Amino acid sequence: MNSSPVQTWAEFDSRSTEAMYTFAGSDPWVVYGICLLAAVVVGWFLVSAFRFDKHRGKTE
Amino acid sequence: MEGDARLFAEKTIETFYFWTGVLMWLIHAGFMIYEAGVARQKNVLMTMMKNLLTCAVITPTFFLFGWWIYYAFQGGLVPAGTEAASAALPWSESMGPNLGDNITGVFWFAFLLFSFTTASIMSGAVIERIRLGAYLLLAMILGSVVWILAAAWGWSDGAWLYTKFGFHDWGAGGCVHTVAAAFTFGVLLNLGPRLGKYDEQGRPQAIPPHNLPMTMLGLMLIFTGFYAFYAACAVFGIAEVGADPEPWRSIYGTPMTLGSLAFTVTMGFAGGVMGAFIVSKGDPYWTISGGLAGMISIASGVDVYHPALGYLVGFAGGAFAVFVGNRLERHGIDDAVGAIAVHGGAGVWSMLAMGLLASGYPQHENVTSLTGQLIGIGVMIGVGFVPGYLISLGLNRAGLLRVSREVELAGLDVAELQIEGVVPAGSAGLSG
Repeated sequence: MNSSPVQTWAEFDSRSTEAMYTFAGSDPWVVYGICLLAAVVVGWFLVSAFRFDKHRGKTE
Repeated sequence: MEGDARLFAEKTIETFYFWTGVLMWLIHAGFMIYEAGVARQKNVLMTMMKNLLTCAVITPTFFLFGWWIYYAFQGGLVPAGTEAASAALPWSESMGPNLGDNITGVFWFAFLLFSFTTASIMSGAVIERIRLGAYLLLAMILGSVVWILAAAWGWSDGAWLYTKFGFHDWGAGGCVHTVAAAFTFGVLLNLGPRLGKYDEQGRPQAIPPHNLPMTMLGLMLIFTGFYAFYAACAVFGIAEVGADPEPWRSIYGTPMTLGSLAFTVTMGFAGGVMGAFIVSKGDPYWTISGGLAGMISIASGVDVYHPALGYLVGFAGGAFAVFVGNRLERHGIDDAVGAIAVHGGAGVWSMLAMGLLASGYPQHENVTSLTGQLIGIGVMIGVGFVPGYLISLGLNRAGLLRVSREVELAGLDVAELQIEGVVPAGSAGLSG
């Protein structure tokens, strides 16, 4: 998957290039989507953390 | 004035790499107490001795031939007689205090600490049954020959994997982690599992760490030291007089920022912890090991990943390490610390993720690509596995690889050191 925001070495090695991370400068929805997916994964982790307490409801 | 500015810049470089090397010692303090925590009480001191002696045996051998290997073998298996290779010979004027070259020493020091790390990856996997001499021979070969040959091939600006195929492995997920894990796998095939690890039906039995909090603290130190490891992977250059300021560069010469490490190493760590937590169902050992797997998973592309992408790569790496560790255990591979899963699983994933998610980046005449990464993965596994397997096979056939059954049952501390590393609670103790 070509995710580079720069296509030539001259462009990459110039001082005019700023954001150089994956998908920078392409359709911003790609980066929005990656951030959304990361947020979903954090949610998954939090749900797992709640389910981790195997004695829930028995400590009161 | 220009001369003063250049000297100041050179001193800054010298200072930077010197302190990255010093801070990387935290990795080895971490490995020592991490592995000691995993070992049973009867093997604690011997486990720590191995970590100490790893650093001792690699230092002179890396000075004598390891550093030269890095510069001499960048084109393949035939040593090159270049000026850089000659300057890396132990009798060269650069390999000692030299007022005209204040950089070689600190670069050598940083690479030496990388070598310690590579050998220490193997050290935990083989604890509680390997003979000290066999271990130190294997550690020396891994730390002063094998990994640095892989680095020459895939982690230098003249590396053939880079110049011919555009291989990109920014933080050494291949030449350090994958090579060490593949080497370790070869050794474990000959070494065999610890007594009692498998029952008569071949089912794995748990050998829990004797001190899990100690192990977790060790990993926290390793995490800290790994920031220095990554910082030492960045190349600090000086612009010519009158030229534009010189950015940080990768070892391949591509521009980057140290900020990418701050973002993505930390995001990868967080992702790795979460991924391992979910897949291991909250197992503390695997959860914290997942943090290391996450930090390794982003190694190849840490210079270019968006931080959220680094988080997802780390998450997948942490989850994958648990999966690999469980599979290996079921197939009779007794890796006492999960080194193959964490360093090998995440190391291979690191190089693969770079090809899948960050292809198309220009690198002088090449671009990063999935093909280049797949070739690199194959080479790194082969370079690690073949010597690890063959040398340990020879040692095993000579009866030099493993301690006797009696020594293993008694514990290495009492049998080999004649001292108890951990005195059981309630006993009089050594001074009582």
